[in-house]
Amino acid sequence: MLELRLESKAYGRRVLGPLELGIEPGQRLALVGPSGCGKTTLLNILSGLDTDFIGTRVLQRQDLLIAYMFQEPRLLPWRTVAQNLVLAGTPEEAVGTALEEVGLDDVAHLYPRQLSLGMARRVALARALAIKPDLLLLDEPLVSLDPQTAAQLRLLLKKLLAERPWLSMVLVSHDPLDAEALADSCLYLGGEKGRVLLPSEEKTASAG
Amino acid sequence: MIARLRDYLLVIAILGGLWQLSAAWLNDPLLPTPYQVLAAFWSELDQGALLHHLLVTLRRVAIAFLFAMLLGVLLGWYMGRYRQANRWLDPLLVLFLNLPALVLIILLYVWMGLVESAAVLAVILNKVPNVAVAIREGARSLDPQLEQMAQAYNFDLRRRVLDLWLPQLFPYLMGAMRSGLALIWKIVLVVELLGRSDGIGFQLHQAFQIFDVAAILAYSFSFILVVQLIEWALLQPLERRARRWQTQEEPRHA
Repeated sequence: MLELRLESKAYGRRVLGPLELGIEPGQRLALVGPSGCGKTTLLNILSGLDTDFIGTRVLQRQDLLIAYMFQEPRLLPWRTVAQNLVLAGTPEEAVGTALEEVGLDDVAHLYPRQLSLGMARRVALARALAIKPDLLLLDEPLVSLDPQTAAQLRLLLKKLLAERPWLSMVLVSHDPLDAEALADSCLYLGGEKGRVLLPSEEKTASAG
Repeated sequence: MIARLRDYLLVIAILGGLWQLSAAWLNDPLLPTPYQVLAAFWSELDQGALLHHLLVTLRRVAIAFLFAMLLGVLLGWYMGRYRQANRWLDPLLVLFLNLPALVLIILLYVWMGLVESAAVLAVILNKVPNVAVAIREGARSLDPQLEQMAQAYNFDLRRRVLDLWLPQLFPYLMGAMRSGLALIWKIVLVVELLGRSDGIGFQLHQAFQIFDVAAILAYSFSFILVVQLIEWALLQPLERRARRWQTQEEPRHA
């Protein structure tokens, strides 16, 4: 579905690569590693936002839809929750269902600053899923939440992913437990001087 | 709202009282009393002169304001977004920023003649650099994270302009508009004084020649009143509307 051959990518003084990555429909991949190892950089490259690298990124279908849930909610603060969803490509009549799916009701008319971080994350998740993507990129979706909120969101993510077996996902996390809960394969980044170690562990390679 | 209006009127009443007292005490025709200014105002209004010249000036202000904002926003945006453009255009901007308004006015009158287009162009050229500087600052401060989000969700140009950029530029636009209005009408008056035969600046020139201070003040105050009305009727409602997202009830969740 998406193939990435990354020769090298310089970010700051560090270098990422070489590495090869192929994502198949329904595959759930976690990128794990210490902070600063280039997880988010790799996600940006996968999403197509960052094209400044040496290597190739091939989409098998030109109309492949990629949804990116950033670490920060990145909602437009001057637009209501509903408007934020519509602007990202959600049909207006689907806004209510999209919000219900992530366990939110009665927030459509609120502005982002009236939401807690946990709620804003859910809105960002609803925005990502509502465009019916083929590939979902999640950047630390559970970071800086209190343990209870994080647990709830982890369960929700698990459920939503289970309901969409065709959906591929790449998750960035510093927490191996999250990776274990949500992904079925794991890529460890990091190591000496920012060099990338190639897949050092393939957990239950059940992805088709 | 009521309290604000009351304070506003109170300040004006106090200033008016002080003025009345000092004018009565000095008893000099060069400092007329508020009453004399008001009388001059009514007589000018009655003859239709005030309204005519006010509208002429207002038209010049409106045209100059519109074009100065338009050009200034485009230029500032371009310079704020593209470093190379900024490097090329910045010396020019500094030149125009520091060129005295009077020099531009005189040069344009000399080169183009004492015509309407020279007058309005002089005002526009005086104001464009200020707007550009403000908007350049705004364009530089756009949130890169939201920019990335818009790219990831394929915002088209319309959505980028209306939903992403304009709300972020709004405070800068508001500032440029406020200072713009104030600056433009002052320059328009100079332009009229130097080379036009109508408008408030021209009337001020006439009054100056016969030392008619009451008329000078009557004309000045009438335009200050107009600018204040524009502020109340146009700018403030616009600002309230655009800032609604910041003034909604406090966050429901900590």
